[in-house]
Amino acid sequence: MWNTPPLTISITGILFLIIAYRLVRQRYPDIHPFALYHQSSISPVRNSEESAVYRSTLTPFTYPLISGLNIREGHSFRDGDLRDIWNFAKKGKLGFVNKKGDAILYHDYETELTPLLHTVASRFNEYVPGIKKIGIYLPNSIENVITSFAAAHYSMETVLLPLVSDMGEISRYLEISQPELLIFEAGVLDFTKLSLPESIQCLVIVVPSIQDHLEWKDQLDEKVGSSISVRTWEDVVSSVSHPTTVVDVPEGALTGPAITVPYTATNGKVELATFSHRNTVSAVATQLRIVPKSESFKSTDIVIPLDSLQNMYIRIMFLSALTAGATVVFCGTTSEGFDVDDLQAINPTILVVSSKSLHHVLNYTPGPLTNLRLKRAQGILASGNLPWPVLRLFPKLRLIYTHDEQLPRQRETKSSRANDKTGSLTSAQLSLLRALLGARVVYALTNPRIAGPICQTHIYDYRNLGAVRVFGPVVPALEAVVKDTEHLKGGDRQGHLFVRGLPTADRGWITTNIVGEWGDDGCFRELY
Amino acid sequence: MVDLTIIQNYYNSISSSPSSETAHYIPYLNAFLAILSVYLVYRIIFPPTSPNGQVLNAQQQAKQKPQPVVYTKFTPTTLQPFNGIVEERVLMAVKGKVYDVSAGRSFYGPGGPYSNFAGRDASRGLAKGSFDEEMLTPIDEPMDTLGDLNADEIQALNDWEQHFAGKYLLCGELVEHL
Repeated sequence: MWNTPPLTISITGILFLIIAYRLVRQRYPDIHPFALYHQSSISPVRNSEESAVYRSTLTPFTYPLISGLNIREGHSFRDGDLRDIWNFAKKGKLGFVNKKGDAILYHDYETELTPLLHTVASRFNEYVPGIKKIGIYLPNSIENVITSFAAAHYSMETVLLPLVSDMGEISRYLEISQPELLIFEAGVLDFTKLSLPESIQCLVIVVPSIQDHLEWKDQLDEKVGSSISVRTWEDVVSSVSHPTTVVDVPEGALTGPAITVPYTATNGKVELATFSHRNTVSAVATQLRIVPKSESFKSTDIVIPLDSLQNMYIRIMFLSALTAGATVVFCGTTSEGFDVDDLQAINPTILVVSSKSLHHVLNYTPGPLTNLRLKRAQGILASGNLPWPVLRLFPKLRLIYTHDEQLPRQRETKSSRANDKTGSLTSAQLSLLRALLGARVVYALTNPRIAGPICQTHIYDYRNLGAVRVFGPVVPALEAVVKDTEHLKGGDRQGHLFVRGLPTADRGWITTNIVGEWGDDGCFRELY
Repeated sequence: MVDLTIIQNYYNSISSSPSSETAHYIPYLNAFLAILSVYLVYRIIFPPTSPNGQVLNAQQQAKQKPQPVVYTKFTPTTLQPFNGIVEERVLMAVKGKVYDVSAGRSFYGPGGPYSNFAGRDASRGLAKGSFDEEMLTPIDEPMDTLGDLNADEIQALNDWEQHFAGKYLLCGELVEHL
């Protein structure tokens, strides 16, 4: 023993130090691997020609699916509606960055926004007596938020027109949704090409600056003729009244239409998805329950929705952030890519972003040092922990919500899918995003007929499963099965995805036209 | 370096026989320990990206989840084999509903006190509180309509049905013809 050379002794000492360091610094994964491989609650019996019914582990069988916000009222609980969301939002702040480089302009709920909301509703009622439907074609602006909540408070229906530039497409959307009033931003609609449906009685134009609002109005007056009255936002809010009483929505109105989203299916047909207060609120409540409390939207969060609020998924995430009392900041509608400098000034903690924009982050070019750090980050992810960001873009960013919107379409062949890969993110790409941004990424599968996601990845699921599109288990407000297709068998857990639950635009099982399979881990994987 | 030689000399002096036979492996041992240390440091900096044992274990367990059974329409004839002898599963019909009672094999399986009911329509027997053979409707006769039961017997049957629904898996229904 005593004749062991000192060199050996010192190396052994170092070795023991290293082992001790490993033991002391050992981190447990954020979630036990067992939970990652049992993400769904699966029914023990299935019908022939379809898979077993899949549910979230938060709402297993014999438990009710999530239906609402569970607002305590005396000794009972109620689901709530959009007006309750507005009340919850008053805990937080709503901010806008109007021009690039400007400071965030915060609006106060009590003294500014709420009176504005009631004024807008009463003015709209003046312009079109008994107004029931309002078409919104606005970017993420204060006018958009106020108009939609004014409608929600006075049992009017909002039609969220997608911000497409094709006037023919908008004409079709207006034709099918039949709004009585249309509110839009000056200069975006070309009235020589746009055909307005007969239902429209009033146009409200949001002008960029107060100086030239009369000019815009006159221009528009000439084009649309005398049957339609033209107002500007300035007219609407010129004298803010302060009504204190909210018109009480009769109980039945909560199941009536509140938000309507027109969309074009792949077969070219224009369709409407209509959501009631109850549909919307159940989707919002789902988002607040699905993620552990410590990770969910909090009042200390700064949330930036980077995609258009006209999209139902983005709107649900926005409403969820409001409900949690988080600070929401809008900085223009960048539907693709994002301006890093702009966002750095705001220092967000949560981003709600389209998957297309995230592709821009993936297109970075790594240097040799970044490559090594990326390798380390991916190793840490594989052991179940979140690494430090490799690209230090947003120091406080902790969570990214993104989604893949699938239009109802008949997608039976691989080739047709290959033409449409623009928005999808694979498991490997999501893993890379986590490493690059050092934030958790929740990737959701959405469909125009369902408010909020159908499936979304678990917040602690950092697994890199390669080049497959994995969407995680179904959300706790829905249950799902896959049914036989021509080539796939529901018994093999493969086929067309059908869902049922409160956030859907129709009752009963509805088809999503998404083809996929349930993995062993209970996660939904899209095929083709 | 000087210090090391002093220490070496000290060691040499206190050891009675500095064995030259055992010393030859020392450089190899040093090299091995050094490589091991370097590897461990490397693994601290770059944790492995391949799944660890715990994950593989979870993956393996996920593969072994039981397959869901298909909800099936049975006739008295097709139900009969499910008595735990011909088929492994033990099924039993109560009021037209077929329950998988395999979990209660010691009661309903072969040799159990209620083994008569396995693979059969047990409604009449349960209603009358009798586990005898004559309570069962023969396979080739039409299904029991239970029209002649009195109120107490109907009550008893409903209680049994609740017991089964709460305890066992509803996996099909019993019909006259498919």
